[in-house]
Order: sequence, then C-alpha cells, then structure tokens
Amino acid sequence: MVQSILMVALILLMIVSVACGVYAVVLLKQALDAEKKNQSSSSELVEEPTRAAQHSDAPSARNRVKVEKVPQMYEASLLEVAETQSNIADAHRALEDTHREVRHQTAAAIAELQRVAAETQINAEEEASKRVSEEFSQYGEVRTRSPNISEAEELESSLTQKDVDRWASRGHRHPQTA
Amino acid sequence: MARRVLKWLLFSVVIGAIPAAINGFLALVLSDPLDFSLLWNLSVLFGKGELLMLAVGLSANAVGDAVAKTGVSSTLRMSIIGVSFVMGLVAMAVFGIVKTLQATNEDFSGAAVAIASAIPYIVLILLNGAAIARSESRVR
Repeated sequence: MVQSILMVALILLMIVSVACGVYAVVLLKQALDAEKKNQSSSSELVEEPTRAAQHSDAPSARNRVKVEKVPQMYEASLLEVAETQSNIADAHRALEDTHREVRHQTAAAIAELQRVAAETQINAEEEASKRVSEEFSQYGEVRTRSPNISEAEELESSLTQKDVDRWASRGHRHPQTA
Repeated sequence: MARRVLKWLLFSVVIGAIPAAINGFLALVLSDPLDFSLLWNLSVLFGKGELLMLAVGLSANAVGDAVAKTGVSSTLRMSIIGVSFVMGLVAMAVFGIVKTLQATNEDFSGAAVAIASAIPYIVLILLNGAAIARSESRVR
C-alpha cells in the first residue's frame, strides 16, 4: 500500500518535473530568440557604418551622424538656458512685486496705527480734562456752599499733590492758593 | 551569452558529475575480469540518487543566480526563482521516495533510481542554463 502511494507520488513528481522542463525549454527558446535579435541588430549597426566608410573618406557614418547632431544639441542647450534665464527673470519680477506690495501694506498699517493712537490720545486727554474740570467745580461748590470750615479742610486734606498738579496742568489753581 | 553558458556547464555540471565518473572508474577497476560496460551502467553511476543531490545544488545555484541578477525583469526573475525552488523541492522529495522504495522493494533497482533522478536533474540543467542565457540576452 505504502509502496503504491510512493510510486504514485513519484509519478506525480515526475509530471511536475516534466512541466518545469517545458517551462525551461520555453525560456531557452526565448533566450535564443532574443540572442538572435541582438545579433541581427548589432550586425546592422556594424554594417551601416562600414558601407558608409566604403563610399566616403569620412571616419564613419555613425561618427558623422554624431558630429552632425552636435550643433543641434548646442542650439537646444542654448534654448534651454535662455528659457531658464527667462524663468529666473520672471521669478525675480514676481519677488519684487511682492516686496513692493508688502512695503506698501506695512506703511498703510503703520499710518493707520498712528492715526488710531493719536485719536485715542486726543480722546483720553479730553476725557481727563473733563474729569478734572468736574472735580474742580465740585470742590468749588463744596467750598462755597459749606460754611463748615472743618468739612472743607477735611476735603482739602484728602487732596493729594497729584490732584493739585493735575489741576494746575489744566489751568486751575488750588483753592488755598487761589 | 554562449561563453557564460559554457562556463556554467563546465564548472557547475561537468565538474559536478565527476563523482559519478569516479564511481564508474572504481567499479571498472574492481571488476574481475574488467567489465567496461560498467562505465555506462546507470545503476553503477547514479544508482544511489547522486543526480538528485546534484539537482538540489543546481536548483540552489539557479535561485541564487536569479536573485543576484538585477538586469532581468522582476516577473522573469520571480518565475525562475519559483520554478527552481519547486524543482529543488521535487528533487529532495524524489530522493526520499526512491531511497525508501529501494529499501523496501527489491524490484526497485538502481537503474530505476537513476532514471527517476535523471529527470529532475536534466530539467534543472535546462532550467538553469535557460535562466542564465535569458538573463544574459536581457542584459544586452
């Protein structure tokens, strides 16, 4: 029983081997075809310049073809260089435009900031002046209205030097010095 | 291409088959009277599955060669590697089977072993040679 199984396995393996052998033969045929093609193409390349050399004194047809291509290649290179230079000039111009635009926008932003700052300062000064005037008038009212000296003195003592200076800067005089 | 294939045939196949030739030579020397038919007796030359061992070596060589070749298309490389690997496995399996059959069945002669081992060996020679030839023709 085991022997028959082994025989069957052996036969199967032989079949696999034969299949692989067919693949190998196909591969070999392809290789031979490719080799023939290579040989024919290389012989064509060899024959052509030989024929050309027989009819002329030039070194060889292949070399002549290569030499003839040099000016074309040179022109193509020149065109490529010119195109690159043009691209660089375009990029430079675009960069300058961007720089100008940025400078313009920055100047506009600075002017706007300065305007807002000046406006804010004016508003603050007006506000401070109004407040000082109000405080001064309030103090004057208390001072004239109240016969009670002690109340007025108490209010005066609560004044700081800063308040007095602030009043003086706005053109008001200290009640005591008035 | 031809030079590379010839080099491979000489160093991998012919030199690999020298032990079998020594087998035949020793059998000839030891025979009394001298029997020259032993020199082409398959049972004497390859009756112990020597060709299968050589086949495994060829398979490994084919796989290594295909892996190292960078000028060949990957599909071709992979197919060569796959088929060579399968053939290596086949050779190993055949070796085990023929040895077992030889030990258990008296009718399974050395000649049968030689024939069973010759098939994978020949296939691997073809495969390896074709792979080398194909890679050479593709590189150009």
